[in-house]
Amino acid sequence: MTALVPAAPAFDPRLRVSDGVRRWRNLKSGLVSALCVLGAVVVVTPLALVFGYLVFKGAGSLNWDFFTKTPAPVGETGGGIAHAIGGTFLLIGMASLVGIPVGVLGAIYLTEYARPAFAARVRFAADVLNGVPSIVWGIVAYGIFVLPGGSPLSLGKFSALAGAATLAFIMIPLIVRTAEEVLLLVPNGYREAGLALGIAKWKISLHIVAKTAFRGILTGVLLAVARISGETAPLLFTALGNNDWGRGLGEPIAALPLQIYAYAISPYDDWHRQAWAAALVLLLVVLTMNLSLRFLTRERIVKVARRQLPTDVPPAAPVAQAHAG
Amino acid sequence: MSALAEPLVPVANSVAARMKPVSRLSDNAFRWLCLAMASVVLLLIVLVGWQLASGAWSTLRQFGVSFFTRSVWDPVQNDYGALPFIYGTAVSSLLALLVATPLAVATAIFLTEIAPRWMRQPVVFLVEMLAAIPSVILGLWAIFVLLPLLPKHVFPALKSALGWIPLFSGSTSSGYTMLSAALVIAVMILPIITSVSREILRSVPDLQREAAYGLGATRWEVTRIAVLSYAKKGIFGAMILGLGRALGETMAVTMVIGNANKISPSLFAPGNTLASVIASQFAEATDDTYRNALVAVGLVLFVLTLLINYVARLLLRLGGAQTGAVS
Amino acid sequence: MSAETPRPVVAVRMPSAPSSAPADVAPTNPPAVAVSARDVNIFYGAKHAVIDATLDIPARSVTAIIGPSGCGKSTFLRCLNRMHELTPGARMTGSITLDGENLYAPEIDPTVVRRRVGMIFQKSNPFPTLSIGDNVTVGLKLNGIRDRAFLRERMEDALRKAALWDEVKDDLSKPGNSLSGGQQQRLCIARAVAVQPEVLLMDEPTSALDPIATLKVEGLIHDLAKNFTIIIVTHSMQQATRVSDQTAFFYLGRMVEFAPTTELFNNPKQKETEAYISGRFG
Repeated sequence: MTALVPAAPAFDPRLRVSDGVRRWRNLKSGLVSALCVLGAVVVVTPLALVFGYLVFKGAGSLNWDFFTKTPAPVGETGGGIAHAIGGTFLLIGMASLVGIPVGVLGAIYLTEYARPAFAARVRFAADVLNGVPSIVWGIVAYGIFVLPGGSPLSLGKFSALAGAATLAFIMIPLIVRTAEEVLLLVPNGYREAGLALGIAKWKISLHIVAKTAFRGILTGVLLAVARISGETAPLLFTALGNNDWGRGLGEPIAALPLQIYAYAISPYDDWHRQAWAAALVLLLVVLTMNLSLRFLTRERIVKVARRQLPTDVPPAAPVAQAHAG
Repeated sequence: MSALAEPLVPVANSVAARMKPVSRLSDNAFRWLCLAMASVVLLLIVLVGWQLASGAWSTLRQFGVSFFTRSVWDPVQNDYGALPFIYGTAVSSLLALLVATPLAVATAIFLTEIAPRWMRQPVVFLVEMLAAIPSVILGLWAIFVLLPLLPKHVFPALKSALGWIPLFSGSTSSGYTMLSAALVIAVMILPIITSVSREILRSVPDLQREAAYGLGATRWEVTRIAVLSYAKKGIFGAMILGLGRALGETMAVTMVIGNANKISPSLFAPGNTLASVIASQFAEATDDTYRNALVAVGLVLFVLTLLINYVARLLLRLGGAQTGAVS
Repeated sequence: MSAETPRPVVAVRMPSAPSSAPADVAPTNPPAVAVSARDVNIFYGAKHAVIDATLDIPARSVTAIIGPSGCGKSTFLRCLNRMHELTPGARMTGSITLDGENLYAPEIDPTVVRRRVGMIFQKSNPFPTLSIGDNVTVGLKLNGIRDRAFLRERMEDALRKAALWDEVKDDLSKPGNSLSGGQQQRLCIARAVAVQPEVLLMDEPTSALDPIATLKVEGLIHDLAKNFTIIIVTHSMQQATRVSDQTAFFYLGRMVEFAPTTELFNNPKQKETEAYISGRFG
């Protein structure tokens, strides 16, 4: 450096930083770092607190009866929440049965068949729907499925079907967006290679394109399922809840989140105790789904998929890296 | 010529003879099936719009603009003004944002600038798990753990320090308050602001940091000059995104806010938000006028969320473009 | 080039020099014409990518298409199995026949065309979710062939034709993208060969390969010409002279000259051809 510069400028004494200033700057830097560490601790504390309390207050109530019995009559202790666990899985199952195929096939249409203008319109609609607060889904579904005469699909009463349909509504735009993003990551070369072999386009879409993106699609699906498992608000006016096994899909049905809500705001200590236990069960279900995702997929896909959950955050840079296997 | 014209393989054994004939039918059927599924998304948005608009129509026609400006909410007299809920939503969300943003940004800085590499993934993982906690569980925890604590230890201290501001005046006896709701919302929106801010900070090119370090800046100076000034827009976008979620937060809020249909100057008093009033009253609204008024509240919530999310997306796109252009 | 394996001398239609060519190489036994293009024009939106291309490609030989980038050679290649139709806004006029059958007849499904006219791409693209063996048979399986013994037999035959059998016969269940770049490209050739097309289109098949892998693929092309009609687009004139029996030169969307390879390179009839092969542009 100095060899190339003809005359190295002499050090200007005015540039000298006094020890005091340097010490103050380092101190300030250290202080802010400490604050950031503190911030991070505060952010993860609620998780530890909630999980800790659920285990502390709920684990003791987990017994055979809790998982196999329905609630005892008001005032008596004992009983369980078998009906709510069953109801939750039934609702998730029915919603998935509708939501997953609709979402995945819809996404396949967007990436494999649709004209750009149509795809943009659907994408925009899905983004809007993904931002709809879940309580709003609740009133919309009430108007369609529950309100007598509200629509041709209305049963005129609260029902398991209405609850499942509401959850499916929430799933569909979520899955469409995540699946679309991962399908777009499949390089075009695979589609062309398939076509050049004289394979029908629909088989290429399913057996080659969708299969290549399978893990990514599965991630999106699991995230959507995990999300609806904990939803309470959309079920309040559709599935309603039930203190026993429902008599059929056309009747109100219990669900874990609804049961927790009902028990939590009730005046009975024994129900509070059961609310903690039910919450522990629900949290374990939801966390298990989220954990399994991490082992299932690489981080990049999880990120693409998770980004859809709150509302659409556009990627800072265009997706360039292809996902292969 | 004749030698060349001979088939390469005996016809019976040829691939072409064994392949299924090409069928346009199955291709078209699949295409139409997928089109129908994609159209469901468009159908859903029409359904949402139509349900909300048709329900809210009679309410808005009956009360006009005063629906948004009056603070009467009287199901007995069938007289409705949604101002208390608009106020409640605005105050609780903004307060939550005020609490959550510094913590979230600090965590994001910790994760990108300070924490040793081995620590980053586990902390990110914990933040994601916090996001996975269902709202109703947080509500349960808040009712039985947070609410007994706040009026005993936190509220009196706040009152003695800030009591001269009307927001911190009044009785501090109950835990079911606007402030409790704001704290619960803050916890709910922490993960989203943290993870989006982290993405934004990570997208700041390392060259920026190296340049600042090269000038002899301390770690905080590097973060402030090279990173934060760069990521300002994006972090603001993350905040607005958090606001969009705060507006719609329902269950935990309903469980702790106290469900009062009036505006109280004090944060130590109960209130209601747009989302929580629907959750707590819709099931009992058997009267058409009452139910439609709540649907109108839902429409307000929907439109607000839509606008906020749109702004957030715009900001994040700008912020992303800004950081992406240099790298 | 054709010294060690003499091929039937070909008669080619040369629009630019119609009078001289037939006299020079008058064939006693004209070979079958596999692909015949007549007045082919291809447009991408407003862009006129290929202008009035007319040529007859003889069966079971290697035809090279050369020309500077952007001259329309790849576009022309892709319209031979109707792959250009995947590009939005692409349009084609004129006619292309395969063994006398119009590939663009309204009742012909492009899928049928592509079963008869296979394609190898610039970048090797074995399906990442399939094993090596399944990559070869996927074109058969997804076209409805279930007979395991037959699939097995076709797989071995295709891998042998692609000179890959000895290298992969013990690893047939490994993923297709575990192979080296050159092997992947030969796997793609095996995959295309397995469905027994009549014509194989190759779009710069060695441009992503190292010299040794390139030589291997070139030797393979040579052997494949015993069974298939091969049309190869290449940016390398050396490659054209090494592998092809006849060469077409495209320039600015027009087919300028089409002649037996040795003739085109030693004795070009057109000024543009001469300028290109002597390296004055492109």
